[in-house]
Amino acid sequence: MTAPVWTAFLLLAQLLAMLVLAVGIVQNLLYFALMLTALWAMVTRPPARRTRALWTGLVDAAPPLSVIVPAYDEELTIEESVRALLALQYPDFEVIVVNDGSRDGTLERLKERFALEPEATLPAGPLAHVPCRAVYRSAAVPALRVIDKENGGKADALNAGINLAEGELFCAADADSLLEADSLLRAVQPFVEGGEETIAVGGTVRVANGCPVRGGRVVEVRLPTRFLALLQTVEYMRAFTMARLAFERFGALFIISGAFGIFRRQAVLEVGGYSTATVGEDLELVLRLHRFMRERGRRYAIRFVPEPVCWTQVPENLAALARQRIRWHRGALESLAAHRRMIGRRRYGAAGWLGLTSLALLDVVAPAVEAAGYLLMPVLWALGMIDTSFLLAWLALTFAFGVIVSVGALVLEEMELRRFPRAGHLAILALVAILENFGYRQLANLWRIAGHLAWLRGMRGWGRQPRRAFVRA
Amino acid sequence: MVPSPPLIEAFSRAIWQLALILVLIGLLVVLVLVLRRLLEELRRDGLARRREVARRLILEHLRSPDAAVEADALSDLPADFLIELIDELAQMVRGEGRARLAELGRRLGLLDRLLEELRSWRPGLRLEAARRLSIYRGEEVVRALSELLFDRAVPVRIAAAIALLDHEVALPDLLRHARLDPALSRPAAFLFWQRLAEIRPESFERLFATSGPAGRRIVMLKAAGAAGLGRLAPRIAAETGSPDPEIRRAATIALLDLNHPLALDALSRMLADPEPRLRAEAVVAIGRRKLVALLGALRDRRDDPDPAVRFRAEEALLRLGARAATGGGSGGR
Repeated sequence: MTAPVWTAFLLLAQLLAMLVLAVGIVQNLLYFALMLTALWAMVTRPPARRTRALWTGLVDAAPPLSVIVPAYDEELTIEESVRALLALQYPDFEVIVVNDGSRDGTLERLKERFALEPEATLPAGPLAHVPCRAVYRSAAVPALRVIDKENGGKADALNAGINLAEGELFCAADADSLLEADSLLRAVQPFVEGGEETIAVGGTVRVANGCPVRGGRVVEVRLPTRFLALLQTVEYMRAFTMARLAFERFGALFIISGAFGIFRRQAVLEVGGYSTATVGEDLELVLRLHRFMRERGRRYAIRFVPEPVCWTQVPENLAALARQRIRWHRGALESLAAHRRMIGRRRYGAAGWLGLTSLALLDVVAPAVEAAGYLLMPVLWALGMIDTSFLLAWLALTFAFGVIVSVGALVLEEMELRRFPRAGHLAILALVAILENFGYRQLANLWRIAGHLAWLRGMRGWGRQPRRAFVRA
Repeated sequence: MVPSPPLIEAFSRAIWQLALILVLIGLLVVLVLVLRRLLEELRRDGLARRREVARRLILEHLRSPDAAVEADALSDLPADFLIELIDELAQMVRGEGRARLAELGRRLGLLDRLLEELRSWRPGLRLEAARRLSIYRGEEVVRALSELLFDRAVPVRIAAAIALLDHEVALPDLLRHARLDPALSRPAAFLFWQRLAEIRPESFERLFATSGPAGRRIVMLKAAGAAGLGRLAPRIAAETGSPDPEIRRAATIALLDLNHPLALDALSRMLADPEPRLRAEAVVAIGRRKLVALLGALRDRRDDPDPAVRFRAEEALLRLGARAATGGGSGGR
C-alpha cells in the first residue's frame, strides 16, 4: 500500500472511530433522557385505581369496543383464548375471531365449542382484504363472531375484522397472548378522558414464559426458567415501562404493540387500515396515523398506559429469537422507508423530530455504527492508534449506562406495575440486566444487521413461527 | 488527530470514574429495591391478616351502630392502608354508612392526612385525595376542595368538583364555577355531570338551558342519557338539529339511552345526516337495538353512496331478521 493511501486509510479509520464514539454518546444520552422522562411521567401521573372503582367510573362512559383476534393455526389454544377474551371485564364489547386460512382445525374447534351459525353475505367493507369464505355468529354467545377467510396475513385479517367491527373502538390482540381481566377497562380510560381526540392507546406486553396459566389467565407471575427468555423479560420491561412511557410524554409514541392496542375505528378507517406491504404493520399503522393527522392539522393523541398488561410467550431458542428479531427489524425498516419524509421534520411534531429520529438513530444508524466499532476498535488498538486505557474506559462507560438504564426500568416497574411478586425476582432481573451487556447486546445488534441485509435483499413475509403452549397451572 | 497522551489519560480517568459512579448508583438502587421488597414480604402475611381483621371490625361497625370500633384497635395500622380500606368500603355503602366511615376516618386522623395530601406536589396524590374526601363533611373539607377547583391539573379540578357535589353548602358556588371552568367541558368531566344529573337534576337542567361551549354540551348530553333524565328529552331532541355533527350524534344517543319515543325521529334524521359516519352509526344503532319501526328507512340505506353505510345497513337488516342468512361470507377484494 502506498503512503498516501495508507494515510488516507488511517484518517478514515480515525474519523469512523470518532463517529462510533459520537453515536455511542448520543445513544446513551438518549436512553438516559428517556429514563428520566419516564420516571417523571410516573411520579406525576395519577395512581392506578382498583378495578372496582374503575368499573364504577367507566360503566356508563366506556364506548362499545370490538376485540379483533387474527388466528392462524391456533387449534390448540383458540378455545381457551376466546373464553378468556369473552370473560374480560368491559361493559359493552364483542369478540371477532378472524380465521386467516388456518391449515389445522381452528375453525372446526370454534364451530364445535361455540355453536357457530353462518350469517349472510355482506357487501365489501371499507377496507380491502382477501376474500372471506363465511361469517359466523355464536348461538351460545352472541358477542362472538368468527370470520373465515383465505390466508392473507395478520394485517389482512385485522382489516377484515375492522370492517365487521361494530364498536367505536377496536382492540387488536394476538390469539396466543393473554390479556389481564381488567386490561380493556384500564386501556380505555384515555379514550373516555380525551374524547374524540384520542385515537390510539397501547398497553404493556410482558413475558409469560414460566408463568402458570389457567382459563386463559396468568394465575401467578414467575420468572422464565430459560436464560434467553429472562434476557427478553428485561428487554420488554425496558421497552414498555420506560421507552414508551417517555415517548408518550412528548407526544412522540410511534409504536403500539400488535399484541395489544386499542384504536378508534373511524381514525383507522380514514387512513386505510393496516398495511399488508410490511411485516411491521403495528408500527406502520401508528406512523401513518401520526402522518395523516399532522398533514391535516387535526388535534389528536396517541397514548400509552402501563397498567393494562398483555402476557405473551417469547422464543426460548436462539434460532427462533433470531428469526423474530430479524423480522421485527425488517418491519421497522420497511415502515421507516415508507415514512422517511417524517424523520426530523417539525411539521410532523414530536413524532417526527423525536420519535422517528430516535427510531432511525437507534434502529438503523446505531447498530451499523456499533458493528463497525467492534471491527474497527481492535484494529486501531493493534495499530497503536487508540490508547488501551481509553478503550477500556469507554467500554466500561457504555456498560455502566446500560446497567443504569436497566435499573431505571426496574425502578419504574416497582413504582407502578409491581407484577413481580418476590424480592428474589428483582435481584435476578438486576443480575440479568448486568449480564445482558456481555454477549446478548452484541448478538441483538447482529440480528439487526441481518434484518438490514434481509430488507436490502427485498425479503418479504413472516416466515415460520412455531406455536408454544402456555404452562398449565 | 490523536490528542496528546496526558490529555487521553486524564480523559480516560474521568470516564472510568463516571462509569464507576453510575454502576455504584445502579447497584445501590437495586439493593434498596430488593431490601424494601424483602421487608414487605416479611410483613405481608401479618398485614394481610390485620387488614382482614380491620375490615371485619369496620363492617361490623357499619352493620350495627352500637358496635363501636375502638380506634386503638386500628391505630397501629399504616394510614395509607386504612385510607385505602375506607375508600374501598365507601364505594360499597351509601348514606348513613358513609357518614360512619367518615367519622371513623376523622377519629383515626385520616382526614388530616388527606387534607395534607391535597397540598402534595404530585398531581396524582392530589387527585386521589380529592376523590377520597367526598365522604367527609365540614367546612375545612369544603374550603380545601374549593381551593382545588383552581388546581393547574385538569383531572384534579374535575375530581374536586365531583367531591364537592355532595356538599350542599358549596353547590351554588360550584355551579357558577362549572359554567366558567373549561375543564368541565372536557369528556373527562362526564362523571361530574352524570353525578350532578343524578343528585341535583334541577341544577343540571338550569345549566343545560344556558348556552355553553360545544364540548360541554356534548358531555352534558351524554350524562343526561346515562343518568336517565327523561324530562329533559324535548330539549335534548332540539339538539339533534344542531349544526355541530358531534352534538347531533350525542343528542340522538342520549335519547336512545333514555328509551324515549323521540329517539325514533332523531334516529330517522340521523339516517339522512350529511355525515356518512353518523349515518353508519344510526344504522348500527337500529340493528343493535332491533328498532323494527325504522325498517323502511333502514332498507333505503342499502343504496347509500357510502360503502360503510351500505355494509352496516345489510348487517342491521340481518339482525332484524329482514334478510335471510345464506351462509356466505363478508365481501373482500
